[in-house]
Amino acid sequence: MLWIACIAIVMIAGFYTLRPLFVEAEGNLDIDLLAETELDRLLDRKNVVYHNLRDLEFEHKMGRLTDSDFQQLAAGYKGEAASILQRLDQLNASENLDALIEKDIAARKPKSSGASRRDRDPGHCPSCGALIITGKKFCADCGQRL
Amino acid sequence: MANFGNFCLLLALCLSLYALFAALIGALQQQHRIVRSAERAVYAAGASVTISLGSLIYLLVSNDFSTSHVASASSRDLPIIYKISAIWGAHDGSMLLWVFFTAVLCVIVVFQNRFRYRDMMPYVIAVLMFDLCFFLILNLSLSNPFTQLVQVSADGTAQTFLPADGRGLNPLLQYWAMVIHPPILYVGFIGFLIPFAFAIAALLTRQLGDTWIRTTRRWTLLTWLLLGLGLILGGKWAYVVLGWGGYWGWDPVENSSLMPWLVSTAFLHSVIVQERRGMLKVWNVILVMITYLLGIFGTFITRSGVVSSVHAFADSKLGNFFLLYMAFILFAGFWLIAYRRSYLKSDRRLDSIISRESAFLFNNLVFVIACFAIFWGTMFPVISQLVRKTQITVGPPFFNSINTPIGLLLLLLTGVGPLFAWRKTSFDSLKKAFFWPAIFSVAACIALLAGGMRNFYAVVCLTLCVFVAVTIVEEFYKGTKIRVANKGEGILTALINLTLKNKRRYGGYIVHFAIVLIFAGLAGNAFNREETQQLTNGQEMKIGDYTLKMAGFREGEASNYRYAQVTLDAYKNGKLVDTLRPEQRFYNTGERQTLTNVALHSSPKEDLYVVLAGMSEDSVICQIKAYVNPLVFWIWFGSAIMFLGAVITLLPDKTSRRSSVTSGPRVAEPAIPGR
Repeated sequence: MLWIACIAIVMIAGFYTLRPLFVEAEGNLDIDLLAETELDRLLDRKNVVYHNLRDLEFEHKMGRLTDSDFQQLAAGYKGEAASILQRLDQLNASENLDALIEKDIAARKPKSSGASRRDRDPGHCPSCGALIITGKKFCADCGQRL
Repeated sequence: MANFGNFCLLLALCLSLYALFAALIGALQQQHRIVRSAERAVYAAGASVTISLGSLIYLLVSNDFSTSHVASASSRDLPIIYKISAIWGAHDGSMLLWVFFTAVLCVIVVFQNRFRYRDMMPYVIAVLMFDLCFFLILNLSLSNPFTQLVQVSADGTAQTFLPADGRGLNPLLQYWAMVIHPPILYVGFIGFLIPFAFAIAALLTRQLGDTWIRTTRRWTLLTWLLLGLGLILGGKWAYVVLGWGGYWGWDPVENSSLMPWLVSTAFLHSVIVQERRGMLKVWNVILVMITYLLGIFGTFITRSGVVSSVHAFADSKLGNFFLLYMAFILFAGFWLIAYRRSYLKSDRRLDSIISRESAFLFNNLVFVIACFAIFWGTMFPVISQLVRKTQITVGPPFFNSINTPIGLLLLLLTGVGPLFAWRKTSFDSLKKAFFWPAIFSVAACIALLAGGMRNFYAVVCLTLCVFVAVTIVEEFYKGTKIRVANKGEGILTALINLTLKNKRRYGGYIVHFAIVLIFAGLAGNAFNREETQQLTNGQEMKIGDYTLKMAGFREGEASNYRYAQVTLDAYKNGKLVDTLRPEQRFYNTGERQTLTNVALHSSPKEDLYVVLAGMSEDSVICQIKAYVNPLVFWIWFGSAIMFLGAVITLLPDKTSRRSSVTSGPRVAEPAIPGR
């Protein structure tokens, strides 16, 4: 009885564990393409600076900061945000994003037939209509959260 | 059933080894299907460990004393709830419970991130499985709960031995808090594996932005909360069961639980600096690594037998393995940090000493110093024994003398830190921010001194408590006022919305307020009173404002122990306030241990704590030990508030799922020049 239970549990665990090796398509885990890009980092930083500014305004309204402190600190954050936005603009101008997206999609296509659910066309951005890069949380074209 | 449990553990080891290598191969060959298979192996290993734990529970409940763990930790007369809690009543079973929680956390993390962070997850799986494999190997080889008892007969043949009854669960563990304290504490220790695994994965994949921090923030907070709860429950258990009138004795095992909690508290603060200002990146990775190592160190202290403690298992077989594992993690981790240091550069420098980030940095240093002081005090007897061959005991006076000023400094920073602005704060802004807290705390200090309080630390502590409490109340008051003015909400609605719209900030303030209450409770320690007296029926003893009158004595029997109970009427200023019944219990099984069952009359002002310390052979004279412990109530109440604050911080944020750094007060998007 014990042996039957042991063999059964090994067979179930083995079948469950090894199944993806025979069923799923090869490839599609391109680490470099999934990696955080400068665009991701800039969008992140932009959000953080906006948040810092909102927080500063709130603390000013609470009477924590003098007007001069508030203006000085707000100017610093706004300068930081402006330079991030400038860099984002440069990035948009220097990179042909459409070509980049096409390259991304091509790289993500499975190397064999039988593509899995995650390899299908990921769709378009609801805001600007640009193609979405799989795995990205923001549209690379307009920054819309996906 | 024992063999089946053992087999499942072995299967879990095979599956986790497979998951470890499959995840790495999948990442290196960029083969998603191999990683998917590794993920499934993690789930299968989790299921296998669960079946194994289920087998042990079955053995305990069915009184199968042929296995060593059941024979040493359970007995027939044990109530069913304690039969289940006997899993951690001895070393081997507690190791299986550790493995079970590790496996469950691994399953949750892998499942939660099955569609996210595809670049990092293979490495996360590898780190998780490395940890699980280590503990599974120890569990299977040196600390196996399914080991069968054997009897060697005169002719040298060994055969299975089945004792009639087990030794029973240690009576100290037969208390409600002990049914939940160890599991909560275990999850509190093990949970730090997750931020550690993400940190290592981030280092390996060079993804050292804020992603890994954001991903693990909730895990760290949850783990921190559970470890804190575990510590508090342990304190409650010590207070009510051990009968020495206190809740914290600076025992090595207590210290080893406090250390990761301190470092993780530092991490929870420094992580905000990284998110907000892009600073302290190396420091954060180091803190995560140290926290994880301190969790392992806590297990090492408990299981290696290097220190003697009321909580420790007397087993020294495992010590060297833990030391080797910790040394490997330490060297590999720091090598990886050094190797990736170029990716860990701060985005900017500190603008001013008088700034929020500087206060956070200072708070981090103080936390780490406190941790080091406790580490040194805990390990000094061991080091002294090794180097000088002399036995030295480092007791509570050392820890109290070092940690009291450090604790007060931390309390001060709890109040001062949030008053500073990010980047820099001018003197005029400081004056505005400090005005009311300073006025109230000076008034409180004068009132305390005028009221006759002369204990230096107690006066400083309570003054600082008022200071911090006023800063927090002011924060809520002003925030609510803005919402009432801007949104036209009622005061209560505005207060609730203020908290819920920025859970991280205001949940944090609630935790700070809880810390204030806990410190106020700790300050009461300075005024503890203690009296011991022998009483016969009708006699009285006095302690503080209380008079205890012995009103009766009885002996009886419960399911697995005999007890002697004295009835004492407690009068305060001549008025009957409570009838207390402290007990002594004599357990039938095991080491025939005697246990005190404390009687408590608790109020926000003070606890009257009474212990039946002994009695004469004819049971006519009872020795009563009574304590009056002021403000202890606030420690437990503060802990409940801390739980509430941490839960609020943990609540999911609907307005900003991407990052709670963007969950600030919702005001109009700022106008940026040059946009």
